[in-house]
Amino acid sequence: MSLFVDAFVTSMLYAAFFSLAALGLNLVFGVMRIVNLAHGEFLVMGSYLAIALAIHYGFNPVLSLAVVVPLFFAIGLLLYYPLVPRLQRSDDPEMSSFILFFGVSFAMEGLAVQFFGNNYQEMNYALFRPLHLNLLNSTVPTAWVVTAAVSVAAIVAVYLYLYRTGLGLKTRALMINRDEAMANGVNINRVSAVAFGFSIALAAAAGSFSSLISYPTSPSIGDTFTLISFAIIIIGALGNPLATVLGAVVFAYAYGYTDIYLPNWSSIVPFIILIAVILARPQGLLGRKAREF
Amino acid sequence: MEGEVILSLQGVTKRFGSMEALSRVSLSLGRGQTLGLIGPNGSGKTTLINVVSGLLYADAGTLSFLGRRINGMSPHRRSHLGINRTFQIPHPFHGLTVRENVDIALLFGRKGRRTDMDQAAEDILKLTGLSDQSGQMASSLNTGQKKMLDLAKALATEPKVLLVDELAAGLNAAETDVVANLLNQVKKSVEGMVIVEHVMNFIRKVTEDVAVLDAGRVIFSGKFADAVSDPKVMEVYLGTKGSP
Repeated sequence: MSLFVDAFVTSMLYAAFFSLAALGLNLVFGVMRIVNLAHGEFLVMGSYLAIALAIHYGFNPVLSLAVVVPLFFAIGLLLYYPLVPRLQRSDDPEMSSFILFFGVSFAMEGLAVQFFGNNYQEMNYALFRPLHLNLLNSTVPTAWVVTAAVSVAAIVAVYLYLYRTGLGLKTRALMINRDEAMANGVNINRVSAVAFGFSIALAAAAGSFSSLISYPTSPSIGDTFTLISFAIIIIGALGNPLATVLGAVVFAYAYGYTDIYLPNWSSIVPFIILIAVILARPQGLLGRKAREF
Repeated sequence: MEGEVILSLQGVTKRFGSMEALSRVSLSLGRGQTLGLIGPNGSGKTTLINVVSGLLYADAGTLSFLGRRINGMSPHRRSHLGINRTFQIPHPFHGLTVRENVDIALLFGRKGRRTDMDQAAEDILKLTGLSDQSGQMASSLNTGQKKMLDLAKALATEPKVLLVDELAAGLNAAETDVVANLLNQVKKSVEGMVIVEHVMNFIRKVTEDVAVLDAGRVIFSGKFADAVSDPKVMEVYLGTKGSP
């Protein structure tokens, strides 16, 4: 029973973190219908920055968000204008985005190797005291609880942005129907640029905590995060940012319970679920209907 | 009454690969004029609406609105300037209510915030017969109601020129009459209107001025009564002499 509860609590915390990691990828897909295959690399860059801030200035990752989030938001804005509008003018923006961001991800991984080397780096657990907390009779690292709490706060912030602001209303209109949104006076480039900035900032924010939650930072770990994030948003519903949370819950619990009871299967079962979802419900668990292209 | 030219197309061409969807199209819309744009399927009517509203950009030619060149101007800026349109197949924002759909157009479709949002939304919903559906999700509307919602959204942007793309398509005779009466009311609130339509009876009820497109070219421009006896128009609609 104790193992069962441990797996439940751990999976819950992982689900929150995975939601944050994948949220930006779904936001970009929802608004721009492009796939950012370099999503994981932005997460890794955020992680390196947070680690550097911790080592050199003693920032804990929560504090480092004050630097990481605005910086990566600005990077997202700067990258949007030379990259995305050109993609969207192509005959097949979705496939073009695959190819372009595939290249971007390799370039970023190469840069990370140049600057940070191939060795794993991680944040010091001891930044948070006490080291462990009791949650539902399960003892978990405080760092994991903080990671989950920040993730939930970020999800709430994205919800408020989408459902409580004028910019969010424009963003949702754009997600539903691009042509109608334009005809109704929505400046799609401005809305998309902000969404792209948010997406990169969310990835980097997740990166600030990734090395605390069992994923030591290395240049190559970005691919893993892109893969996990992509699986999560397909399970939840492509193009629906808040469905990411459900996708992350399914993925995290599949991973968490198999990791406890069938450890050899822990990296396989979540993807078997992904395949089952694609076959049974291609629009994702919360998708309204099959995607339109 | 027709007055000064408010919308002008001079030699407008739009290509899709090697196919010219619009070929050196020249048309003008005077202040107070309603222009019916007719022609067979594939003649370029909707492409023309897309080019004027900015969803497509012309490859050649000049588009001007109120004396200002609008080639290359984005759709949202054209909306702010006073050009808006309905869609042949309306796709309202399905995750939002009817009222929220109209609110988006009220909020963002023109420059400057309104102070009378509620009243404006109510008036537009009443005019388009959607008052009772105000709180309903847009996805629950039937096809006719979705078309009315599309019109309501376009009107909410307070257009100077309204481009109406096959609003009567798929409607029965009674519904067509209602829509024709509605557009005749709308005429009073806009400075000009272009109506794309297949249904000739419908066009006749809303305007006398028509332009006929065929294979991307304007083959007739004048009064409806003259169009129906024009040899080129007859050929397009009825086929050449001796054809099967």
